[in-house]
Amino acid sequence: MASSESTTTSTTTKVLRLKSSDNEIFGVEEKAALQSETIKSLAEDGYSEDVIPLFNVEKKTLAKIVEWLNKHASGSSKEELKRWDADFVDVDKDVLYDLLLASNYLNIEVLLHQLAQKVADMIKGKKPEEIRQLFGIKNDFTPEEEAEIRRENAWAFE
Amino acid sequence: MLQQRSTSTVEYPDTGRDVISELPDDVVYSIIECLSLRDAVKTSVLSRRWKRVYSGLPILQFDQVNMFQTNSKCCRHYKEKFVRGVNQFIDSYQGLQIDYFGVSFCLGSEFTDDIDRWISFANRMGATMISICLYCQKSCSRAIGDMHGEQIGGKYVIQGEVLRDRNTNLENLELEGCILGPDVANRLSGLETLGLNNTNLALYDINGMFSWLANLKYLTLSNSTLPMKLCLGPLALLKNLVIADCAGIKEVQLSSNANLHSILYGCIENVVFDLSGAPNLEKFHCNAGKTQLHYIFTHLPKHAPKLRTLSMFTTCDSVKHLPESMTIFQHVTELCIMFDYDPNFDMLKLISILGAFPCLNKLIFAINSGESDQRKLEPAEAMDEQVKKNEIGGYFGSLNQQLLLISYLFKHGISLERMVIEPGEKIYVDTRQSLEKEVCGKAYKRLIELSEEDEASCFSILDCHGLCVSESGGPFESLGFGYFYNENDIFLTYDSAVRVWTSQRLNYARQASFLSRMQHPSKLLKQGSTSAAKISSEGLRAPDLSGKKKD
Repeated sequence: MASSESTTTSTTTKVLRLKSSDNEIFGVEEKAALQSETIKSLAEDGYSEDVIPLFNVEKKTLAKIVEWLNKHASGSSKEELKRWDADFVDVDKDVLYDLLLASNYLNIEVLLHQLAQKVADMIKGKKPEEIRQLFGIKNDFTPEEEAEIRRENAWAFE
Repeated sequence: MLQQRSTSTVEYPDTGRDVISELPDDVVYSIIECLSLRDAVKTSVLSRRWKRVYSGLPILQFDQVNMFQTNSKCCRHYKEKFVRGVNQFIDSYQGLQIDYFGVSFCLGSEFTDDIDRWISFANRMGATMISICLYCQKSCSRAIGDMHGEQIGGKYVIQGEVLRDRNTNLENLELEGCILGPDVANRLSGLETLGLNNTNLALYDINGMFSWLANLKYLTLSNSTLPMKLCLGPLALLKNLVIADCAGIKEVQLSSNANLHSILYGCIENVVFDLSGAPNLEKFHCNAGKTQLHYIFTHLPKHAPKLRTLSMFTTCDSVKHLPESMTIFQHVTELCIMFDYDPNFDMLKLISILGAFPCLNKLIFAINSGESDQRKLEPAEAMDEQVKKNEIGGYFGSLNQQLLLISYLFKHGISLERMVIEPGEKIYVDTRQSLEKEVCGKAYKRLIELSEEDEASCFSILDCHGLCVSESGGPFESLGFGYFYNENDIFLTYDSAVRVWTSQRLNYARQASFLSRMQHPSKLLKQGSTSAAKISSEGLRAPDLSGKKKD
């Protein structure tokens, strides 16, 4: 089935201007931007005519976020969106962290969940040692402490 | 959380800074929430930062998949391991609060002391929703006869003392294969949602229990043996009643149930409903035999004057005995008739009942067709000219049957203005043959042709969402049909899966109800509120697919 998008009925689409922490301005259609609860409440607070400052998001991250917002407001089919999302989260760990922080700050629940799922997929089924290595987590337990934790919830480590 | 980094630990050359541990708590929680309980608990050993992170999970679901990552059919062999695991978890748990506590494992009536402890723990932690399923969905037979044969003595009974520790926050309780003891109900006056499934309630004083549940809004009884008579009068706030796949019941008595607005009755037993006790009823779904059909078409319009949606699952045989004169349904706008397909039955006879529905704007024929797609619909010569409906649509059946009916309606529906073809989308699943998109596309094309061939008609296809089938393959094993009771309700049938949870606040409840139908329950539960949003946007509303709109 072809999914032809319905053409927008309103003639004027409002564009919100988002400013990254390093002063880059991104124009985003209101419909797309309002997927972020944070932007939504800022817009409601009267920032909508002006530039909306996002102090916690750098331009390289904001560019990605804007890309996501636009895609998810574009009316793409579910299948396409699914494929697109899979590609979108397929990034380096550092980028992933930045996106996680940004989507948390911007309160975009769907995106936050997608990213969290991506990290979870990397953890899933791995041994603690493998997880530590993968993410560079330093084991700061004494061997006795670690053994105690493993004993407490032995069922999970069996 | 304090972070002490010992310098003596081994450095791994390939990895950089430990950024993941520096993420704020809520981000870390959203990651943990995507893990199985096993993987979540395993993170406690990573470092001090991670030690207690899993304790922040608001949803605790203990089942085979979530704890042992296995879907083994022989869960009986895991019983002790399972019980030990839950006990260890609870003993070492350091969280402060949980919202949802669920156990799903076929423990039957064993380990009652442990289960007591678990429920007591959940209650102490302030859980608002508890789901205890001790009935095995996998290895035990699903056949109704089986469970109805089980004795009440063989069930775990929740005793009042397990809720003793504090005033309970419990709002939603779902029990499967177990029941409430007589001294529990008086502690549950705050309960809003109750589900009793796979249990034998024939000798149980369920009516006595109802008298304590003054705040109950949603009641679901399924796959159980019920007493002959249910008296719902004491449930003055009851909004939503579901009785599905139950046996033994003969009468449902309603009185002063002024809040009741939706009833779904889906059992084979012929039950006497007197709906005069629920004058504000708006939705009625009923498994209707001859008696019920007679009641529906003679008394229901008077007893439930506000009725807007009526759906009936019936048989061809029962339909043949419809009363000659019918009372008019003044406000019914939506009518759904579902029946098992019988090639000898002229379905168009059903059209005549439409005379009783002057305000109808949506008609759904749902046919539970058997195996064959080859059978032909043999429609009558002409469609009743009196039928002037705005929309006729929503036909569920095999693809060929859908096309046949639609083509018939095109030819004979002279007074039709438009037709809406609206499949149950995700809910309607035909796993026998997965219909490829191509096939759907062809079907759609054929529809367009049909509408063009029929020059005389003044209607066209509107909102054709395609004649399709769930893309996911779905959790349902058989050809079924789906029908949305309203935006907040989920009504699945056929697979004895009738759970209706309403209220936006019950995200967990809704997920949990889906959970029990899914092959990998923990996954669904773990998706947090996002998945609830997803369910409501994808599952409950038909999506825009074709975009072919009438001008």
